[in-house]
Amino acid sequence: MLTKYVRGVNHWLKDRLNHSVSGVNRWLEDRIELSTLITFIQTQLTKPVPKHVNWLFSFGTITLLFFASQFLTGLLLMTYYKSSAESAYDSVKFVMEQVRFGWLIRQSHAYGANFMIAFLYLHAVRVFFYGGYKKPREITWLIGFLLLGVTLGFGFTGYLLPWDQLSYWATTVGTEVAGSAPVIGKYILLTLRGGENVTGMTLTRFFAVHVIVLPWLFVFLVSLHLVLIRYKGISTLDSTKGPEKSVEDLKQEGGKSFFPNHVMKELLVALLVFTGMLIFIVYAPLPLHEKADPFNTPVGVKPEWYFLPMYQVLKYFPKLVGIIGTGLVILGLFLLPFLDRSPERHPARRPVATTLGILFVCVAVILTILGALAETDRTMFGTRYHFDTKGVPHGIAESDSAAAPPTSTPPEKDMKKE
Amino acid sequence: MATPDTVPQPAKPARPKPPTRPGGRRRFLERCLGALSAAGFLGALYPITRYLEPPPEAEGASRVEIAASDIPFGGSKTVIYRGRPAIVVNGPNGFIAFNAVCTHLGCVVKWVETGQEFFCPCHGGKFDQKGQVTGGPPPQPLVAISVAQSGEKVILGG
Ligand code: HEM
Ligand code: FES
Repeated sequence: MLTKYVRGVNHWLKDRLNHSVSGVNRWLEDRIELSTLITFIQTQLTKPVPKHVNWLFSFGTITLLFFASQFLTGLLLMTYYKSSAESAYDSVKFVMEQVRFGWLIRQSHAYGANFMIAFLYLHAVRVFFYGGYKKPREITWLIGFLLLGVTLGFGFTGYLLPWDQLSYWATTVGTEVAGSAPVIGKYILLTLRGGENVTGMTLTRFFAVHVIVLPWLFVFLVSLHLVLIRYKGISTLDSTKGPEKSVEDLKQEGGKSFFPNHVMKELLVALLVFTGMLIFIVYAPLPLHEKADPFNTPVGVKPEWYFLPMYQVLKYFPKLVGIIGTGLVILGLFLLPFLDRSPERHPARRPVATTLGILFVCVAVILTILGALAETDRTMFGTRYHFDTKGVPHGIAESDSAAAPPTSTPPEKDMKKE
Repeated sequence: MATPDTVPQPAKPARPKPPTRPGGRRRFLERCLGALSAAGFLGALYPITRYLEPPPEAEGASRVEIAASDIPFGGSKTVIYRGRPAIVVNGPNGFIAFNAVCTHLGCVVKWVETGQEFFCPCHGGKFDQKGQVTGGPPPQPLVAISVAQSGEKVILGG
């Protein structure tokens, strides 16, 4: 139906351009060569995607849609937000409690950040297992990896903006981790914080980065990413030894047109995902904790889930070893196309890479779970357990849970503060 | 000495343009321009990096006075000393004070009266009354701050 309609429209447009004496068309044609543009767009839309492309290949687009949504909700939040240590918290509270649909806009932005990063992780995993990073798409991978960095940067800087207890202390610890890098650590720390401590100076810096630097970087990088994808097409599952498949080859092998076939698949996934987010927003709205108190660290400060595996790993190693080790793993992933030189793309034909990939994902998931459990008390199979910082459970009797490991509850009365 | 127009000049054969030969004045000037632009760019980078570095902190008071009665025996109080949180404890051996910033990842430690120790809520770092690490991940002891008591006043630093 739709295809027919689009074809009809195309036909009609071409008809106009070629035969009509319509002044506007002629005028435009003389200036911007409308017909060339239309032919170009049409070629792009009808390019076939390889036969194996399924709904897993929609994750990149979903990420992009979340970026668009973040852009819009972020702009709306900015109209009320005040970026100072004194008023940031209250301005967010105001949006949540006084502004019409303020809750919806803030929750969409806060949840959108989580969803965007989740789908970005999934997208990178998808590209890994389908060997999409191999020749000639190495640059696409490198740029994608930078996009991941930019997106995590959005998460890190955005998290501080509400200026509540969790965001304040997660930022203190996070900047301290960055500041532990050898040699330039101290400079990084001071520059990130705008001083020795996390203060209003930090807030204005993070705000500027969050709303100006990162969005522009993102738009620039994502444009390159998309141009490269259009230019090279989605990779097939063939070995990189053979030549890249031409449009005709792809068509012959049963590859379907990008539009509408693949686009419709993406649209369907997008609808499901955004509906899912709406359900979360309504049934599990994200809280705004108490206002930041620089004198009083709450128990169990943790970064957002997307930093948890890296954070948890730091707990098992001496500080510097952990930081350098994690840094090397990240560098290795960045340079993956140059480290993994096997020509095979199909996951079954590169068993070592596939096994390592599965292991990596498992370790990341386990670390996330350990990180989430760490420093909490939970009842499992009728016994009460305290999970220490490393995520190791210790059984505790119900009655003495307060007296048990001091990690659980430091006596309230000693938390004197000014 | 001006040459009248009429005097025919020996026709100079049009100098054949050298095929864009490496070297030459043009190329030299282009290189200078390139070098200057690069220098200008790098020159702009310097003030920008320095701008982003926070100005030397208005250090914050290096001498802080607290009323001794503010801290009950066995209790503690957190104040700002030299721009960073400091914790003062009224312990069994008199007043003690430390920079309250945990040497691990920068959380603020608390005084736990029942255990007579400092405890960091972030990753469970523990320090004794001398600031020495007794448990958890902190790599270094807490930094001590000199305390003096003068009558009703507890004085940090100074
Ligand atoms: C931040 C936002 C990002 C957006 C909006 C984005 C968008 C997209 C889109 C729309 C595609 C088309 C195919 C698909 O969706 O699977 C794609 C493909 C690709 N992406 Fe991303 N991407 C992002 C980040 C990343 C990251 C983090 C990586 C890797 C670390 C990456 C690497 C790639 C590669 C190599 C391809 C080509 C895959 C192939 O040809 O099979 N991208 N991206
Ligand atoms: S910050 Fe104190 S133990 Fe980690």
